[in-house]
Amino acid sequence: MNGSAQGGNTIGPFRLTALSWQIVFGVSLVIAVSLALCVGKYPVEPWEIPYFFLSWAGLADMPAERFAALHNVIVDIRLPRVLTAVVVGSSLSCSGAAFQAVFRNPLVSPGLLGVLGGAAFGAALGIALGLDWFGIQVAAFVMGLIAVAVGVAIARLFGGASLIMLVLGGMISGALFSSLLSIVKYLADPMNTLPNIVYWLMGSLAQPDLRQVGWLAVPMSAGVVLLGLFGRALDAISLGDDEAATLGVRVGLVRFVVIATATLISALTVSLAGMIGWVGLIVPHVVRLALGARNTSLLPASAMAGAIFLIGADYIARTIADTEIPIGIVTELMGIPVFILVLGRVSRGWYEQ
Amino acid sequence: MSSNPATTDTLVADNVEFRRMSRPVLSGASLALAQGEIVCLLGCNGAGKTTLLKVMLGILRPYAGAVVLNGQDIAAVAKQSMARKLAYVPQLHQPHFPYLVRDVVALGRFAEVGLFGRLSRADRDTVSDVLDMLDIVHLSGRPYTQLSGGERQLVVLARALAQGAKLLVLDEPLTGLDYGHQIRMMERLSDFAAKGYGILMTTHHPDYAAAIATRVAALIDGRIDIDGPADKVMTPETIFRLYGVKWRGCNIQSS
Repeated sequence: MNGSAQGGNTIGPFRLTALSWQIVFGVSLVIAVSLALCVGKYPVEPWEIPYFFLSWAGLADMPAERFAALHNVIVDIRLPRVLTAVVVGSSLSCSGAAFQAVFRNPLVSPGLLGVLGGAAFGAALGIALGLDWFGIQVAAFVMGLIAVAVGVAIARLFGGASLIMLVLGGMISGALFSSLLSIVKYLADPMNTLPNIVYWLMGSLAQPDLRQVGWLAVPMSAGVVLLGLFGRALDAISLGDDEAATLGVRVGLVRFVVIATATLISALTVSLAGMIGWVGLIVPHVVRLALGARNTSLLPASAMAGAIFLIGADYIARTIADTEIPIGIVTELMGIPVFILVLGRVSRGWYEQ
Repeated sequence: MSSNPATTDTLVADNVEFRRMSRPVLSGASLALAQGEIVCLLGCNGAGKTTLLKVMLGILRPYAGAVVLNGQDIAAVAKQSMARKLAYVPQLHQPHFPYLVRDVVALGRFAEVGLFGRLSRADRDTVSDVLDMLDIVHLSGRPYTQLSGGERQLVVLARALAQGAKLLVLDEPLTGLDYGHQIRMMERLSDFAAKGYGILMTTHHPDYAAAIATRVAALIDGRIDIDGPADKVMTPETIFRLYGVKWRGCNIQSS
């Protein structure tokens, strides 16, 4: 891997083969996870991480006192957070990349059909009604799906299932649910409930404990893997529905499965960590610049890069100020310079590689 | 490559009707294509040429009538098996993502590879064979989006060939190409027909149609009103009926 990385560096533009990029992203993700488990107020040496996990699995023997301390820091505090970052980052990025292919538009993000707006309203409603954390999660998830259903229904009402009608339906549905969100905010108790809603909407990786993340990580990773399997079909569909159909792709079926999967896992990210913007738009863009547009490699690489991006954003959110900043703010602030860099390519031709 | 009459692929549109927003576009159009032929479809703007092609490709479903591939109604044929018999080269358009040329051409193997499969060695060989056949091996590693129109047209043609289909449907394959590329594309298509491919193409150039077509068909008022050998059909009267202009005659020599 090293050899090809250096080889790529020496010839002008930074170019690696798609496979070596997958390895680079994979190794970086492992490093990012390990670092994220090490850094924080309570210092943990990097070598202690594998040692600890081996001991946890019963394969090594760590002094009991140290093990207990590390168990508290790593398993109870840092691991849920890091895992949340990984599943949320990979779900958002992977569904963003899939949406961009299905809608043949590199500026699309997973919120296109209104899922994020709906989920935000659901969560706010749950908070305003005083539901517990699980109830809020369910409300966010369900409302996210309802918002997409409303968008699709509007599209069906006029012109069937054409892409442009879906986009417009999603916009209308998104606008509807953001005004519903405003109503909830307006009616919410400004002393207690309103701040909770606002903080929740800014996103946080600190809410879930290990069991909760563990549960949701299963469907979310399954969704990411499923999207990844559709890479070649997405390549074909992104050329145009007619072309894809004559190549032998069952366009309607693939599009339905991909949109449904991406919507489900995006809704789950909102119920797990609130609104975290920009990830689904930017990460696939950057990855595409690195290893090309082919969805078979873009989707898995975006999933890994999204996880790395959120781990990094979370690190910044935790450490840049005395108190923790909501991660949604960090991703938005980080997203802007990245997006400007991407825009820099516009001058050299939007779609150039 | 040469076509054995017993196994010649044929595609027939039989009295197809199609409406858009209740406006009839095709009202009983019939057209046939067999291997070894070049059928040029003429018609003025908005006559429904592209619609007829899309109906014949199974992209649009006719309201009445049927499209028959090798004796079987295409409504009952799986997309994947159709892709092995029938390939589509759409009008030039701006692609959205910078796929590499070899990846675009490899999508022609989709029907063989399947939804979740991987390209085999043989698939890759097919891709390099068709790139070689069209003399575009040097483009293989270039992003599709950086190519000129003429090059992109060849890439899409290569993808169609990679499907292994013997019937090719091309929507205005000459539009957007410069004069040299137009002539070269026509020569290529003639070669393919000689090798046993059946080619159905639309064009806005009656002179070119006269030069390469084995048959010329004209779509007027939703019907194929004129259909026959180029030298019989390409008369000033036909051109006047089609476009309402006087025509001095064919000025391109067949290669």
